[in-house]
Amino acid sequence: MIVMPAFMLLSVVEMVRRRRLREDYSLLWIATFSLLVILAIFRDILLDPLAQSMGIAYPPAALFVIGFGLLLILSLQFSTALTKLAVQNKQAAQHIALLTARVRELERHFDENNELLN
Amino acid sequence: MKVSSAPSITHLDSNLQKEIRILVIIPAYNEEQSIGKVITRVREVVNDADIVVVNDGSKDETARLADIQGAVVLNLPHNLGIGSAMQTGFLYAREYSYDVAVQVDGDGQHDPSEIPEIIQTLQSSGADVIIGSRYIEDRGYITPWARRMGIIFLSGVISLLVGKRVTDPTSGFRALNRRAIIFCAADYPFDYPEPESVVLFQRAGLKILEIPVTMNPRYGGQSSITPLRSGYYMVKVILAILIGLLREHPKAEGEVIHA
Repeated sequence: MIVMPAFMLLSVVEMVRRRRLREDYSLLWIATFSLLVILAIFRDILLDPLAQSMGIAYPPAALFVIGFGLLLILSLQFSTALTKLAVQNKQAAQHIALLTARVRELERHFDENNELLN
Repeated sequence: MKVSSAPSITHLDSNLQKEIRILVIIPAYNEEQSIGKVITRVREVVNDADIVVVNDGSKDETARLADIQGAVVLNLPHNLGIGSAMQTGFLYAREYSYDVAVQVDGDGQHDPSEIPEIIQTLQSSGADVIIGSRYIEDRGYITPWARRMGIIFLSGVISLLVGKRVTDPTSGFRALNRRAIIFCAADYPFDYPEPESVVLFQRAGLKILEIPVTMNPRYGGQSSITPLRSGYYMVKVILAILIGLLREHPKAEGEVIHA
């Protein structure tokens, strides 16, 4: 119960260290796994009362419920990040299209002028 | 280095009366069978217009054929969807200060011979956007039954929202004045943009006017709307329009140019 989230937490930190994961995207992951680790460590004073208040008889099951909720938040964050990237991608693609057309037109003019000079 | 106007345009003598500069925007995705014909027809009927083809990441010969026909080709590096492709055309129109932009589909459904009338109506009516409608007059355009129902439903919803009868909100046969061009260049719906844009226009204070047009069956290629997608289309469009209503009112800026 402790080992898994603790291992994942270390993995996330390692991925950020190796620049495989950006700091801002790692924040939610670190928060998620830290919370799970803390709940698991302080099972008696945190997890058990929490499980009881949620009406869950078997406290470790509460961890899954909490983990699931956090996962939903994380995937929603992905969707917003994707949306932002899609908008930026669209704008970049539109700029490329407009600039390429302009470059071609300039090249054409340049060639025409050169021909006139020769 | 600043290029102040599209090089393909002959510079007008500033002493002469200001001429209306027209840009025909043709969005195209894999339309090699029809694009050449469409460009030729457009040039025949409006020879003073510039033509820009927005190639939305086609995998066929669309771009090369459009280039051969002498159109300016805006090549998007990958497929962005019709809305973002059209916005690219509007960005071009804004950048090169066109007074009128005409949207004509690359698949040959729209009859270019109706473009002069659409442009003329734009200039004479005082509307900011003219929409060519298949359903004002019965001109023999046959719509599949299910799609017709969808369009009737959609036009009902949209007519209610804009407080004015809109018979063919999905029509992409349109003309826009400079004010509308600037509005669309700044922000345009990405996926199925036509119905949504009608609501956006009205909320931005842009005047819409529909005129009857004839539409052809397609020259070639395939419609992007399959029966399966129609359901998704309806849900997406309605959702987009309704959520759009929760946003702040978009603003149309710029001077009103009516000839």
